[in-house]
Amino acid sequence: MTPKKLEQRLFFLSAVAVFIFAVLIGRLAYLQLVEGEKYEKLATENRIRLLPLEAPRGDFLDRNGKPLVTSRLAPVISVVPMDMKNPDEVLSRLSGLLGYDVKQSVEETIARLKERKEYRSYMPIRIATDADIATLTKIAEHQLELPGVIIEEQPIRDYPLKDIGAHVFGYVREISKEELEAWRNKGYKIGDIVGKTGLERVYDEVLRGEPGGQQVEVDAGGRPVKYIPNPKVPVAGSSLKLTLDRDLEIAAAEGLRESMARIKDSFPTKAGAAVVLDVRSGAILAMVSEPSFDPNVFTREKIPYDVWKAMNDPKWQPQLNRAIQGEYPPGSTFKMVVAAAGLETGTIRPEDTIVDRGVYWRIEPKKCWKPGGHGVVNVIRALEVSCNVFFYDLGYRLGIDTINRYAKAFGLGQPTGLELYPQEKAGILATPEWKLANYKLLGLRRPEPWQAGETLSAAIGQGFSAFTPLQMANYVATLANGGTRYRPYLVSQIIGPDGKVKKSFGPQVVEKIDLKPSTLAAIKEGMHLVAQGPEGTAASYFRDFPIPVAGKTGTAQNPHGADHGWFVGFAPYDKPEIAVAVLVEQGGHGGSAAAPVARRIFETYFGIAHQAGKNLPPAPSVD
Amino acid sequence: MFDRRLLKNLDYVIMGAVAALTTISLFVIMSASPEDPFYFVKRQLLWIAVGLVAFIITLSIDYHDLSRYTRHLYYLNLALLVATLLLGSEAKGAQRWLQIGPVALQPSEFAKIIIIVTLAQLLSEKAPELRTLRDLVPVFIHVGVPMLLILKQPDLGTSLVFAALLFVMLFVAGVRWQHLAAVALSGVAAAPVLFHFLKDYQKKRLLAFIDPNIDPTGAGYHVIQSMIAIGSGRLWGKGLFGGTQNRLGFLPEQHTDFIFSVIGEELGFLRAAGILILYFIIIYRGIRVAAKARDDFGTLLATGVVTMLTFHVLVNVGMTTGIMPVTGIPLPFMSYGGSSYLTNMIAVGLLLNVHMRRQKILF
Repeated sequence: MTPKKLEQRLFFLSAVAVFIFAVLIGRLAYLQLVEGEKYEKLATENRIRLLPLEAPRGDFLDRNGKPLVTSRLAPVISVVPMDMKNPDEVLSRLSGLLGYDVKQSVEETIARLKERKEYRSYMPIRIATDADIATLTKIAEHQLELPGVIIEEQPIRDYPLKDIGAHVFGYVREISKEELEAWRNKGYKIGDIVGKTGLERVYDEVLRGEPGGQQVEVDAGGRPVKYIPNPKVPVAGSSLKLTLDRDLEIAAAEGLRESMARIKDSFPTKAGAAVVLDVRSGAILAMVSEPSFDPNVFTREKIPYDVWKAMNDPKWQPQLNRAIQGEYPPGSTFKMVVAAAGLETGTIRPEDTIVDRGVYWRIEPKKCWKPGGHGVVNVIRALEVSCNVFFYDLGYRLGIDTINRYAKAFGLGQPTGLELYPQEKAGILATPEWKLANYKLLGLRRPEPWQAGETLSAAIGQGFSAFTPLQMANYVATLANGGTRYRPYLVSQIIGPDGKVKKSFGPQVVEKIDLKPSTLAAIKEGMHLVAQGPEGTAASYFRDFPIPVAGKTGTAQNPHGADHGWFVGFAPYDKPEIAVAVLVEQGGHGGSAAAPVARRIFETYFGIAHQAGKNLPPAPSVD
Repeated sequence: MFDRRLLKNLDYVIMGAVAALTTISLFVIMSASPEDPFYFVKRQLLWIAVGLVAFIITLSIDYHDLSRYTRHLYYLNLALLVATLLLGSEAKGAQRWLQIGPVALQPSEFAKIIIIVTLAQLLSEKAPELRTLRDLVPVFIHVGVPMLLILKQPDLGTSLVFAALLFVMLFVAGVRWQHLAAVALSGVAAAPVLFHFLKDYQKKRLLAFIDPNIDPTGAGYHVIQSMIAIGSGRLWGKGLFGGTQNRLGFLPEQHTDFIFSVIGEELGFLRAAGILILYFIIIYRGIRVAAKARDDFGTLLATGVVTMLTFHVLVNVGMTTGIMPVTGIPLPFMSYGGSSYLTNMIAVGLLLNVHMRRQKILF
């Protein structure tokens, strides 16, 4: 390039620079000199406040679109620090009206906001959500003495089912310091309401939506006098369509409560769990855990002491989701695994019999639960009457490794893959190696090898193994559908605020177990007889039931108290649709404690009128 | 380290202006951190020290030697930007930071310097051959690749700096007017397409610039509050530490991107305009450095530095005064932030390097 051309171009560049700076200085002069007075006034009495508009969280809908969890508008009391002429006075007055001290919490919030450089004195700080009418009236009456105190309507979480399904849904509450730190990059800020447990937590980012805001001009007392147009409209969160069936969920919870009320004189228990699965997909139709809690209490800042105390009862632990976090020995409900192993390996044929004289002598005398024994039994009858001696013998012949191989195939002792918080427990599938490694857990001083007698106990579900109710339900569902083990799931769709489906979830096959039709037929027939056969251990609860049912009772020995009662089953027997697993902790017997709950669930599912307490004989002493 | 004759050739006016801006910035940053006045200042002082060392090192290397390493620099730059996308940490929805030991760096800041050097080298070599639009394609690719990587972070402001550098440096390299017009037009035509790829918050910021009421709680609110701050400063300002908009927290990011709002509010028109004139002096003398440089490489280096500084001042001051959209571009030498300060010191180092070695020194 010629020097002359370069000079020209650089001269042009200088001219551009002069122009740019002239514009900037001119703009500065316009703002500061021409409009200065106006802006000065706006600044000295900067009365523009920014009120956040919370986004309504997405709803939870059941499989038929019925609401399970929603949001509603509620009055929220907040303070705007800048407008509190004398914060100490305003806050102590407010504390007096609310009946508890708010000063400390406000000061803490401000300190935390300052620490994160997020403090804005014109932004409101939430004090009390969903305050009652009496409190609101008192505040309105004392408005003049409470500058900077504002009441606005904001959407809050509403759980219309109250304490039913609380473990699945979870609850929401203000984000904690630790969560803020852990989810640093996800756009959360102090004061955000977030899911703490359950699906609320797992899907928080989907549910929470995007908050909006409204610029408001306020008077000297900080009360809005003018809403500046064009607020930023909050974007509602996406909704979750669940696989749950609202009616079944209620039936499962009420069934458990009814059953526990009926047996309370002999077995005073409060704890249990029930899981209902669609055997054709692994969709969870109901999941309940008892005792429960009402998640609505967490939406208010102040939780009454007695409520808090009840929720944290160390004995019954209402916040524990027993359906996925409780691990219980399966008792006789495990016998189908042993039967499947025996039939599949050819160790027995369906027609093979043994004679049960009440005691199995091979290793050490082990009794059948029925004194004198069941006489001649094949595998079908062994299931029907829950004959222990038959399964001692079969277990002895199979060996622990073969039994465990089948238990594992049915998904026992391993996470099912359900996405829920707190996470599901894996359960324990006790193997000889497990026993060596966990001797301390068993109270042993040094590792001890597996005993042959322990294989016999394992064969009737009384060993060291322990499974979650969800695993048990999935195992029965796998049997019912002929060997396909699905991954249980709770969410079928994520639906955007516009009503469009954003994401769908469907059945996922985890494993296909190769089971001969004769194996399945024998086991299912045995289970059918349990529920509706002449000598079935649960027949007193299902004999008159119009739909053919299959099931199995279990009474699991519990070294810490009364036996746990189990019932697992599916229906219709000939064309299975749903599978259930019911556990009543320390319920005494599977038949009396758990089978009526399953009946209640089947009644609801098949639309059969429920007659509370009818046709339910007193607890028979069967396994 | 330096030949005395070289030191005689230093542009002390530019150095003085930079020193003045830096000194003023310390007071303003102090005022802009009402919770803990020394928190940011202490850190900034550290970065100023680092910046000074970098400045001296940049001066001590003959800029001609740089031309031998442009290829290495270019690929190092790409590697750093890719690393930022893959390993970088997020802040406010953007992946901009790379953690190296105890320090977090913004590779996109250094990318600006590197692209100035490599583009100057490329253009000084190829300028005579750039006769048709097709000849320009390699140049576009040269700038386009790092630019897209930065846009991906996403950092719209910095990638626009790249566009400005490309345009102005092509202009000074002597590319024909018609071609430049074609480049500008295609840029305008591509804008709606690019807009489509922006993140929602970026779109909102741009739309909020056209109508602040579109996003009154976000970017729109910030601009309104910034204009109130600056306007209320009037002729003399409210005095350091006296700005209500600043101290009460109406201003967002007042120690970084919106520091000029504090300057306007607390120091007033006269001093704020004075600060703009300090920038103008640096830029004006920078163009003279470009004019007097010994070779095309030097001219283009100086042009790049000047373009970068001008673009930053224009976009940042324009944003705080409401005539430019909110893009998160810092004010050179004044906004709090280590990578930015360091980059600008290296840039000025390059500028003075070119100036210092403008004459052949005979021994």
